[in-house]
Amino acid sequence: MSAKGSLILVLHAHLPYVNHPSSPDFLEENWFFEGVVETYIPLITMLESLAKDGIKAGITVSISPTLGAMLENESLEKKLIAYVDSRLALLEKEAERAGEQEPLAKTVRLYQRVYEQAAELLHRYSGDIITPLKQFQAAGQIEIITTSATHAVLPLLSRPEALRAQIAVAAEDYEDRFNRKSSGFWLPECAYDKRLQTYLKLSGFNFVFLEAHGVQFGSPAAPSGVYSPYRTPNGLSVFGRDCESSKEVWSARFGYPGDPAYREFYRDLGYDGDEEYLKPWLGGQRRPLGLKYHRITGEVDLAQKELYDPDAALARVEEHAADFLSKRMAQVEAIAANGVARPVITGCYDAELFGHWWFEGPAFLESVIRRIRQDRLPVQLVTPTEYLNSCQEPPELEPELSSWGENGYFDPWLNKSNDSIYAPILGATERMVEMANRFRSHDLTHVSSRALNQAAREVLLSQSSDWPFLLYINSHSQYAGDRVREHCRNAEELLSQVLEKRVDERALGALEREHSLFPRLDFRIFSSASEF
Amino acid sequence: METAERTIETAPSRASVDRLFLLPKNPSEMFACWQWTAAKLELFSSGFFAPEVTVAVLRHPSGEAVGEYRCRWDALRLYVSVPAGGGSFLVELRADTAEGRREKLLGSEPASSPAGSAPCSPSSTSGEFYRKSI
Repeated sequence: MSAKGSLILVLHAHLPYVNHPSSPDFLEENWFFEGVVETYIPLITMLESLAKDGIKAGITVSISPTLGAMLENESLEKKLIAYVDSRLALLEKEAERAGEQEPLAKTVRLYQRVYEQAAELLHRYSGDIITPLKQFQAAGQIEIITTSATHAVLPLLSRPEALRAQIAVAAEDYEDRFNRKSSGFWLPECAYDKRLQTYLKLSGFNFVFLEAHGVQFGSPAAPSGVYSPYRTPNGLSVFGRDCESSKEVWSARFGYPGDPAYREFYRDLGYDGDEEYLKPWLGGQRRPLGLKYHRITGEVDLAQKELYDPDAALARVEEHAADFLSKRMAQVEAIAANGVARPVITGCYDAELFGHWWFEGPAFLESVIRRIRQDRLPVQLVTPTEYLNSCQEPPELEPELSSWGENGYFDPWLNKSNDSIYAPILGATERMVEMANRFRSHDLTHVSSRALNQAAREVLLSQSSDWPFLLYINSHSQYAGDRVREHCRNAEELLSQVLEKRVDERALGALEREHSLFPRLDFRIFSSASEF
Repeated sequence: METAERTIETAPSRASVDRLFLLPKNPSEMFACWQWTAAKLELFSSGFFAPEVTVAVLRHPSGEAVGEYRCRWDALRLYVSVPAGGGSFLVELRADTAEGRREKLLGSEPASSPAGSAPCSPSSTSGEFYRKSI
C-alpha cells in the first residue's frame, strides 16, 4: 500500500551535566543512572531487536552535549556499573522476599531482567553506550541530532554572542563525538527566537522543530499548518510539532501513560520498604530506588494503588500502539482530504518519557515501529532528513517566538520562583563577552588560556534550562540554586584572576576535572567578532 | 500554578559595568533585571539618588513609551506589561538625584515579545509528570 503520509518520531534525550567525582554517592547523579538503565539502554535494546529482525527503526534521537559528555565520563561509568550491580544485589534479596507471591514475584523478575540487560550491554560496550548509537546511525537505522551546548532556553539569552556560543559549541561537540556533522538541531524546550536562524545556519544545521503555535502564528500564514515543513528566509527548515500525537503519548492524565494497568511512578520501594532492610541502598535517607511494584490503578491515593502485573501492562501496550497508529492513519486521511499533499506528522517527546516516566514506553515504541513496518501501513516512518530530501522546497515562513513550555512561552523558566538567577547569569555572560573581546588577539600564557576556556565552560553551564525548571517545580531546588551560584562565581572569579594575572592553577585544575565537557572549547567563541 | 518567590543569593555585585537586561516571558509580560557596580551601590546608599527608580518601557525602534513603573533601586528585577501583538521593546532605568534631576542610568538592549496568544493545546512536556512531586 503506498504511503499517504509520513510520521517523524523525535526522542530528545537530555540530562543536566551532573558530575561530582570527589563524592562516592552524590544524590543527583542518580538522574544519570536512572536515565541510562530505564530509558537509554531499553531504547538501545529496542533498536537491536528491530535490527535483528531486519526492521529499520527510522526514528530521530537528539542527544544533548551534556548527556553525551556524561555518557563518556569514566568516573560516571564506574559509578553506573556499581549502581547496576548494587540494584542486582537488592533484587536478589527482593526475589527471596517476594517468594511465590504473584504478581509481585513476576515484577521482581522483570526488574532483574532489566538490570541484567543493563549490565550485559554496559559490559559489551565497555561502558560506552554512545558506540551502539553511532553504529545505528551509520547503518541508517536512526538519525542522531544535537541540541544547544548546555540546553539553554535560547530566547532568554540576551547577548547574540551567547546564542552563537551555545550553538557553535554544540556543533563542534557533535562532530567530535559522532565524526560527522549534525543536520538537525533540537531547540531546547522548542524555544524559538528569530535571532537563532543565522547562527544555526552558520553552524551547518538544516532543520529544527517548533511547537505548533510557533508555526501557526508565523508569517505568512502556514498553508498546511504543522503538516508540512517550512523554510525560514535564510533557508532553515522548520517542522511544527503535532498536538494530537503529542497529547496521546505525553499526557499523564489523558494519554496512554495514565492507563490504570501501567506502572505507578510515585510508589517506590525506597519509600515503601523497611528502612533497616534497605539501609545499604538508601545512603542515609529515603530516596527512590527505581523499583516500583504498583500500578496506576485509577484516581486513588498512593496508599491504595494495587500491585503491578507486567503481563496485563504489556497487553495494554499492544492495544495502545494499535490505537495510536489507527489515529495517525485517520489523521493523515483527514489532513490529505483538506488538501495537504504528503502530510507529515511530527511527534516530539522527551526520550526519558519512554522508560523512566512511562515504564512501558519503550515497548509501546517498539510495537508502533514493528506495526508500521510489518503491516506496511500507509503511514511512512521517516527521519527529517529523509523527508526533506524527498519533498520539494518548503514554502517560506517566519516563525513566531514560542516554546513547548506551559502556556506556550517562557513562564516555567521565568517566574518568581527562579527569576533571581537571571541577573547573575546574564551578568557573567556579559563579562565573558567583554573578556573574550579583550583577549581574543592576545598572546596568552597557557594557564590564562585554560582559565578563560574554563570560564567559558562555567558560563555555558550556568545557562542550562534545568536550573530554573528545578526551582519552578521545587525539586532539588537547593541543588539547582547552588549550581547557578557556583557557575557564576567560578566564571567571575576566573575572569578576575586572568585580568589580575593571578590564576590559581590548582583550583583551575580541580574545576577542569569536575566540569570536564567541551574539551576543545575556545573562549573566543564568546567574542563579538568570532570566526567559526 | 502558584510559585513561591525564591531568591538565589549571589556574591555582592561584582559587575564591572552597571547592566540592565530585558527578557521575553509571554505575550503580555516581559522581565527586567539589573546589576549595579559598587560605585552605584554607594551612590544609592548615600542618598545621592533617591531610593525609588523609574523603569520605562519603550517600543523599539520608535521610542514610543508604553509603560512606566516605580520600584526600589535594589529590587533588581521587575515584570513589565507590554501591549499585545508582539514587537520589540527596551527598558530604561531612571533615577532622581537629591536636586530633583532625573537621570537615565541604564538602558537595555531591545528584546522581542511574542505576537501570538494561547497555544493550540495544553503544554505537552515532561513538566506534567513533575507536578505530582510538589
